[in-house]
Amino acid sequence: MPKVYNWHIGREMEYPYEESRPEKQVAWVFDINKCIECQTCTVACKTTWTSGKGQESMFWNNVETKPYGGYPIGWDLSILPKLGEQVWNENNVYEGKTVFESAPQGEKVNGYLPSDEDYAHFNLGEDECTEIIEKGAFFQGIHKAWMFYLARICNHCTYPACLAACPRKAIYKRKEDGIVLVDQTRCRGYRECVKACPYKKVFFNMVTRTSEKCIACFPLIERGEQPRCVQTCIGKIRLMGFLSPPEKIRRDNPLDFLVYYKKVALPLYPQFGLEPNVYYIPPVHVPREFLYQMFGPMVDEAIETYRSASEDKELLGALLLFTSTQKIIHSFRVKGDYVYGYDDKGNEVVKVPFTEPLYIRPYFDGKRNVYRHTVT
Amino acid sequence: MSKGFVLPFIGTLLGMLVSCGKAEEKPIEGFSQEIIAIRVSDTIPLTNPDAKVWQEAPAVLIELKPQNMIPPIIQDAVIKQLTVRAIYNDDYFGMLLEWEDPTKDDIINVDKFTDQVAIQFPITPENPGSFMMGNKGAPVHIIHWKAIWQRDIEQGYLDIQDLYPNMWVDLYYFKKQPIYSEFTEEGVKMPRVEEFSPEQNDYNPAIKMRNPVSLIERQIPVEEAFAEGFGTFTTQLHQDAFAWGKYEDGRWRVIFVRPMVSPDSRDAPLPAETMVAFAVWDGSANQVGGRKQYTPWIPLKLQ
Repeated sequence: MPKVYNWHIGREMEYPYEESRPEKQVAWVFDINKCIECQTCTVACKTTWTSGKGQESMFWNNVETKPYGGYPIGWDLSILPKLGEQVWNENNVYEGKTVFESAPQGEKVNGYLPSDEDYAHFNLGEDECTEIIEKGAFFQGIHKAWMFYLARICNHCTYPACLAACPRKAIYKRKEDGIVLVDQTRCRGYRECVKACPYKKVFFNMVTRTSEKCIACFPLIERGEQPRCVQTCIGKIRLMGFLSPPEKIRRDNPLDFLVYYKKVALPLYPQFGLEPNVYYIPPVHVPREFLYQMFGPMVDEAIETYRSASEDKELLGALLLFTSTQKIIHSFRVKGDYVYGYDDKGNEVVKVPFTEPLYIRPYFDGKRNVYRHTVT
Repeated sequence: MSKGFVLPFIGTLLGMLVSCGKAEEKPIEGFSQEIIAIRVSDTIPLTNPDAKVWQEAPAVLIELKPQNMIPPIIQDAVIKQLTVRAIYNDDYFGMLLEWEDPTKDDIINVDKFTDQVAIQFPITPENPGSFMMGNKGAPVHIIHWKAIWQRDIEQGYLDIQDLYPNMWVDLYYFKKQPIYSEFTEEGVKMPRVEEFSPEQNDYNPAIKMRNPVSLIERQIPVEEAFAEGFGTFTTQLHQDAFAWGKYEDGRWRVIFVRPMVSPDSRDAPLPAETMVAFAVWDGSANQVGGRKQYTPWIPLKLQ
């Protein structure tokens, strides 16, 4: 089996195909700290792409409550024990096995196929926190129990397990932007991809009898717009853009800046070995042991950087770009008290102030002879 | 190590040696090493496995092996043998395949798989190539029957409400003509995908793209395909074959019929001596694609 380099785990690993990075890689940063689980992203995706027959319980985008929630039920709890011991050494190199390296004989990927019931309760565990809150309890500076919302889409991985497992080569990764797609004319519904994807983001459509997955809203991306789930995000937790190839990273590319330079956003379960391309800013209030398991060994540094954003205008500027425009931001610059976002041709697509301007109007509107409900 | 594991392994090893021309595979007692097709004067029955004409051909027992060479694999064969009868007349060639399977699996869901059987002929019998779906330069002709396809024809295309009878969806689609579930005197009426217009099927891409596994107007439960190696299974433009299965008393009996001479260049010829190979899938054992029982090439003689 060929060896490929996976920078998330700091080493080479086995993968069924040779390393072949796209010209640019579609990627997202999700700031977990800001997610309120309103599910607007979920509904935007659902109404855009999966309102057809056979897609009733299919959510390309979902938001689940951690630690107990999961869609399909227990997806991460089911795959994690299969990997065995997951140890990182002092140089942040993963010493355990990936889903490719731990595959049983005769399999390309170590996976499992969920049952139909696993997809039947999309938000089981919603808002459940880790402990019972006693009557009369109130916030005293430290949370007694914790939970957080994890928004999930297809990670459009650099080393997709779905693509590796498909015996028909019906899944492909686009060279121009790294989007991973299932060819709906070629798929024969073997479900090897559903079984292989550790994030369980390839779904079986029982009416068409083929597998379907998030397409990264490629019709939008192709005309320079961010996907639906990003455009509609109420909490402004999302930023979509392109990661540059490792040898061409740019500080003024907001994705490169957050992921490569500041290292404030981390991959979900990097130990799976897929080099996923949705990067998460970890939740600051969650016990570190849980976060190390979920986001790898760089959690402490990421949270420290995030917490110091108020003193780092460039970082704060990049964070202000989240869900600030429909357009894809290829580069950004901080000038004075504004951050500017530019498209691929250098045209300004957004200008965000560091401080929202505040205008206070009088209570009485003399022109209309009414009192105002709000004066700001 | 169980005997069930050792035998297929040795069989595989011997198979590899035979292909190198260094050793002869010894016949396993009880299993035939060739199939004789008998010429009959009657017509070939399309759907009746109890027709008398089948008795004119000898029942041949064939050993099935687990596909444990190329990932994804199965470790052990759950269906270990296949009974084959072959007959032909001036126009058609027929085969009756029988095997034991305690469960009839004719639905598909994310975790449900269908029973299937396929026969394979070399397109170039003088150079049959790999028995594993052929190889470059030695293509094969595959005729593939699935229980789900026959169910689609007998009972209508398997739809979501057949799998979940109590389900309810407010509406499908957000176009000019949304499709609603309706309350009727008989109860909730869910729309069937067969009733959808082409525009409404925009939301079912595989149906829209006419993927051969998503044919809602399927006429025959069989698919003819061309292949020249793993992952190259390609549905033929001309479908000239037919198959029909009957499940009774824990046993599948499936009839395959194809023309003796086909104008389709991707259909294998049927000279007096050629080869044939089989593959069988058990849905209950989650078998699909490469996870199957197979046979290597078996000589087929038309008497």
